[in-house]
Amino acid sequence: MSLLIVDGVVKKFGGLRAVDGVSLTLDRGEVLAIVGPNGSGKTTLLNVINGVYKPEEGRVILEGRDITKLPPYLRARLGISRAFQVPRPLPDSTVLDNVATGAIFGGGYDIHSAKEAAEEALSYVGLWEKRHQLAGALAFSELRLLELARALASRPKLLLLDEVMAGLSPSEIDRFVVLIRRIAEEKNIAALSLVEHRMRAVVKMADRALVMHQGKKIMEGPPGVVLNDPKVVEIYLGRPWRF
Amino acid sequence: MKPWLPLVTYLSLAAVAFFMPEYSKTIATIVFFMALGQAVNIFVGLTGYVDFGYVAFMAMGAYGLGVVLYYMPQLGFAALPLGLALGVLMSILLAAVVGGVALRLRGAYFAIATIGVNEGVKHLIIGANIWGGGAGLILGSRAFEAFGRDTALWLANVGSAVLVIATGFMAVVAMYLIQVSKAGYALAAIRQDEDAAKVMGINPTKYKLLAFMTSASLAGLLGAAYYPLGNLQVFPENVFFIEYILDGLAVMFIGGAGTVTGPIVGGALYIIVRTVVGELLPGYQVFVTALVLMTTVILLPRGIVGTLRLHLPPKLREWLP
Ligand SMILES: Nc1ncnc2c1ncn2[C@@H]1O[C@H](COP(=O)(O)OP(=O)(O)O)[C@@H](O)[C@H]1O
Ligand SMILES: [Mg+2]
Repeated sequence: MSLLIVDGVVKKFGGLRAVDGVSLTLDRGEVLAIVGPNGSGKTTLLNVINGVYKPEEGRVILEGRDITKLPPYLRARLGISRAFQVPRPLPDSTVLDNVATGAIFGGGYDIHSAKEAAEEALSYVGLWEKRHQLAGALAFSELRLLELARALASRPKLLLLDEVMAGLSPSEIDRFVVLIRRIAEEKNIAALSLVEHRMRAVVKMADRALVMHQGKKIMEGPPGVVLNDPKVVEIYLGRPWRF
Repeated sequence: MKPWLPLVTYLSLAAVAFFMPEYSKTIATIVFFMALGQAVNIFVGLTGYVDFGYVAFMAMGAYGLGVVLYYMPQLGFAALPLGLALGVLMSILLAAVVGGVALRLRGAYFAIATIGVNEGVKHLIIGANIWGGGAGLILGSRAFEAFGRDTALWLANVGSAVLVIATGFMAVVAMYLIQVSKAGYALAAIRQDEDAAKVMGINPTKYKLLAFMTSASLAGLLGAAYYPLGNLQVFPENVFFIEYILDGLAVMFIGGAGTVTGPIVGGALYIIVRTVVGELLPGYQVFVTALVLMTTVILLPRGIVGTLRLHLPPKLREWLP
């Protein structure tokens, strides 16, 4: 059974079909990159999957259960964790408390075990030394790691990563790619990773790539193949890329 | 977090009120503002929401005890616990109804939705002419009947002061229990980023409602302690006096929103300012309240205790919650 099935989802804003009949499936431990230019509907699709938006049409199914109508906090408890496009830490809380909060409510731990899980997740992403700092004092790349740790500590089955490599340096991106692969392979956690520009990273990070354009799914397949497809190259305004 | 400093402060005040009855009334008047700030803080300080209908909770508490004393003085001493329980219960019920509906709204919308609650309940009582209607409940003779003359006067003086102080004390305990539990984590997240909180698995309505009802129950107890017990009367114009929410907010912000010790410091300072202004510029108290509120929020957004905490080493910070 697939971990996640998205079936014919349509999400409109007024007359705009921001997501226009997208379907996809995702297995445990699989990394799927959703690639598309700015405004193609990637974040909106993510919002439908984690319940921020209810779609006008279509269904979202997690482990065989229809979750289309569940509020976000219940989906989090079922194992959907998210890192935001613009990091959203709790700036006045410590790094540890940020991650522990995810562990308590998303992961269902009691406070004591949540702190242990939080420390473990912080070590995993390499942010343990900063656990007593206020999250508001972290550097941008550290906020990305904080969000990843917070998601990990909440015992996810599925990570929703919204352009988590945007704003990072090439070496930081490499570290992130390795981290996401490790999470998928060691912990058998699936990831749905949205990418606008970092195509080199997509090939290294993802098992599959799905291209979106104007709310529609254009193509899906192995990253190396999909990203070199002439149709996809054209969507990116004829800006070809090399690996 | 170590709640001993605020707890010992309230215990000391209670001891003075108890053993030196000549100071009881003064202490009750001062601690009234601390306890009010403390109760307001549990909702406003912990969630970041503002409720302009808040005073109705104090009124519910006042009417709970007032109604039991007025209509059932034959209960004797049982009228006191029964009346307090009824008052607190009515406050909690009102909070459940108002919160259950309005707490689904966001910040400013919630504040607007609650504006009418205080006046609405007040005009319901006056208009329907229940619970004494516009004339209110005069309780002196009923309290004499229920408790005996001397005890009634002692209760109005010392008993009321001790109960006002106990409200502040219990608010500190409630704040402590919230902050060391899951609810503390949930509310911290909701206050800082409600959307992120939801995505992290938190049901915001549940925890906002919890803080709201806890806060309302304490406001109810405070209303009961101050009006029917302390003044032996419940007048709609007094107990629905809408400016009390401004006082509560001022006390909370001066001390430090979300801090446990803040309302004690804020309450003391606030009383001093109000008293001095009352002497020098009588009639300008509300204007000064507004001015103090604005100045604090702009110049000292974390309040006195909040700012102090920021500059204390972590070990000491524990002791100034
Ligand atoms: N809350 C919203 N209200 C109205 N339009 C929106 C909203 N969110 C996104 N959109 C529009 O939907 C389209 C897809 O946006 P988005 O999902 O953010 O794209 P992407 O993440 O791929 O850059 C854009 O045209 C955007 O302007
Ligand atoms: Mg986006």
